[in-house]
Amino acid sequence: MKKGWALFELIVRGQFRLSYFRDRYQKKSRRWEIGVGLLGLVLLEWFILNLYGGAYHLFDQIGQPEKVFQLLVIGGVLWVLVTSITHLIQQLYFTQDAEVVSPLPLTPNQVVGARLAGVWLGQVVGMVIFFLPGFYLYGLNIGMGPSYYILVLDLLLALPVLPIVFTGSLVLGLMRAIPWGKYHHQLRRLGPIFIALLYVVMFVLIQWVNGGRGTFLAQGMLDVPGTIASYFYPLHWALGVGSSGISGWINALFFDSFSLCLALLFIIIGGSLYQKGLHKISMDGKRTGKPGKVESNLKERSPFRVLLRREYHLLMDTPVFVTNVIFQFVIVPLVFLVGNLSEGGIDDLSIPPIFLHLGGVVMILVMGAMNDGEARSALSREGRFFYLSKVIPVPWRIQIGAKYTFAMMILLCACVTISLLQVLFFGTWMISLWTFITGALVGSLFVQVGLLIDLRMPNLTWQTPREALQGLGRLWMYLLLAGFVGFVGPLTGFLVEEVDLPFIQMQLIWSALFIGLNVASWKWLVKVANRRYQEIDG
Amino acid sequence: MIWLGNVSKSYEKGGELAVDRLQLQVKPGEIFGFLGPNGAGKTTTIKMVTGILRPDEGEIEVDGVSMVDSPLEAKGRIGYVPDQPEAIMRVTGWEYLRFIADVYGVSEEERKVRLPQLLERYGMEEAVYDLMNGYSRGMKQKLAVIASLIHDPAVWILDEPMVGLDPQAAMVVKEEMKKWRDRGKTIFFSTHVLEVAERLCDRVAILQKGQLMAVGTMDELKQGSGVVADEETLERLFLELTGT
Ligand SMILES: Nc1ncnc2c1ncn2[C@@H]1O[C@H](COP(=O)(O)OP(=O)(O)OP(=O)(O)O)[C@@H](O)[C@H]1O
Ligand SMILES: [Mg+2]
Repeated sequence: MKKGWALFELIVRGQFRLSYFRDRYQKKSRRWEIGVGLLGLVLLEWFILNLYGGAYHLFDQIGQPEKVFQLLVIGGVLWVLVTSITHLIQQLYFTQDAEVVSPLPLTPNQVVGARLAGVWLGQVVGMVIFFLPGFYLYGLNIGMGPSYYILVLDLLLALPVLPIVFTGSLVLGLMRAIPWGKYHHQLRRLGPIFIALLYVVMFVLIQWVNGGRGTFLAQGMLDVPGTIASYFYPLHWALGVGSSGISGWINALFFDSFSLCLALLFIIIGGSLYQKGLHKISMDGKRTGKPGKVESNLKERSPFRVLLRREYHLLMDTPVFVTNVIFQFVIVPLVFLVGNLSEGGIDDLSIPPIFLHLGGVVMILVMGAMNDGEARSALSREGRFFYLSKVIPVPWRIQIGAKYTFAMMILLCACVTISLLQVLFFGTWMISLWTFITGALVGSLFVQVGLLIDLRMPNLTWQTPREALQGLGRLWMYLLLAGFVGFVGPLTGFLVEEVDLPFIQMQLIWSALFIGLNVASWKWLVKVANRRYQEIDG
Repeated sequence: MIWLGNVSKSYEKGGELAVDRLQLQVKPGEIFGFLGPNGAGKTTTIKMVTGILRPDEGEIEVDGVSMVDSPLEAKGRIGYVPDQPEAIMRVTGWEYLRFIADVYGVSEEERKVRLPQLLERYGMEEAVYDLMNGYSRGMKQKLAVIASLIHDPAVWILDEPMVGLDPQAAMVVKEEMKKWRDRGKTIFFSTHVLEVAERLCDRVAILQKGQLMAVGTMDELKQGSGVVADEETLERLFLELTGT
């Protein structure tokens, strides 16, 4: 127990970078970063509160406000289910400390327990940031007694256990069952197929909603918690925590005991399973090339193409980066969908085309340029191997060009998605086409800004890939730019309305403007890259 | 004591053997050198002895305890210095050492005695409070050495311990090995450098392509006596290892 605790403590220190931050902020000159970080957090919380406020209002109008609590609980479970998978795989099997931990006299149960506890704590923090405001807002709106607020805190501690144990079993089972050594590389390539599949599912869903004119889904949402809980009875207890009086306490007691037993059971059973899977992984060595292939592989390729391929591998070979990209492709269309429903369906076709178009462009921006996994981590992804970029005799212009091209390829996927969504919903090919063009042009600007941010403050010293995606300064830049787009977008739309030009002419003027901006910013980007590539310590 | 009984290991099922039916015994109170060219299987062997890899076949005992049957007890008796000491997490050296001490169940009194001594001997009294990511290769190596000795292990296993150390620190490690031998402990380390082995080791083993080529004292091997698989190969190996 004590030994497991020591490991847990070390994992937590590493995971939340406690020692790192303490070290960093002992220097006075760095303290301002804490303020900026807190400010960012406050902004985020404010945004989240607004979101929850709107949602509550919606359900209040339907006359079912108490459903909000249930949806929050189920939403929390699903959230943990999705977000914990990569973290778990990372913690259990692909940690760099695996080789350090395995010669230590720790039982597999202790290791599994400590690692799981680390994931759990990370999830609790996530729940507090993203879900606690919702729960408290609900309590205030409904007028719950003081005990509710204590019970919710307790619920947030217990809620992640069930989904983590679920995904944990999945991960342990898979790692044990799949002969990794052999199919490792093929499995990683499944990522793109997974994205394609998600698309199909999404389009089917949208078609379905289209046919049902929206009310279907709203009604369906109301039933979701009950339906899910009926498949898994203990969730009834979690849902019951929201009831007032003694009933809430009893439900909490049941759910807590259940979660605790579940966790213990998992740790006891998981230990041996984990050990076997781990042995398999540590065997998973490099692939030896086939001798016969050398001849056909001798062909020369342009540095640009090779670097583009390298970008692809930098992204695809690390699960965290891939999921980050996938995530944006799922979340934005979903927002689109829900946003449409909340505005009372699509009967209202009196929206002027220019706003339809602008809406599409903004969506592309949200989807493409503001995602965490892409342009803003283009350099950081290289991590310790950045030195390679400095050693190879390829001009910086081409290196940054490869990164730009790769980011644009992903952005173009986003453009296609949004344009198709527009066609699906509004049946206007013309507007969709222009959404695509303007989206690509504006998005390209954003990609370049992302690259500039990463050039300015790259994080090359990360230990786990997750860290490459984080960073206070970059978050701050992101908020600034997001705010800028949120402000400028509607403003230009407003101005265009005033000028009153025909749609096509307006588009042509816009496009010319953006092409000019792109050329200018590209020149700037290359200039900065030429300077920064030399300055950054590889 | 370390005892390897017919240990084999392959990284792929049915693939080439990285370690091939290795039979070896290292006695208490001796410094045992493990020699061989790159890719000979030294690290693989050491990883099996420390319980990182599981042997496909064969038995491993550490201080009389089977690594396969009771890995926890066996691991508790080993101090291990890996070949590539990595800063695993963003923690300070001190936090890491505390973690190691906790995991090996070192009492507070023992910590009070050993830690300051070790830190001083390797000149890490101040650096230990810095983040490990900032350490140089040699500093990481020193910290790994300190961490491996906190619990006063019966068996000390080092993989390429001299790589990356400055002459001063290398001296200290060598002296440390001798001191531990004199206390009756078992020391097992790998190296490519014949000269180091010659000066330090009571006995050596030479490994090639996973197979044991020779075991014995350095003098025995030079004269071609000791346990030698085939003299010609041994001679060639000697040449390879000395780089002449
Ligand atoms: N993770 C791995 N996956 C596949 N094969 C491996 C792996 N690690 C080592 N090998 C193979 O096992 C054999 C022995 O490697 P090992 O690392 O034990 O050699 P070594 O004697 O320590 O060499 P060095 O002097 O370079 O450290 C080599 O042929 C190597 O290719
Ligand atoms: Mg080695």
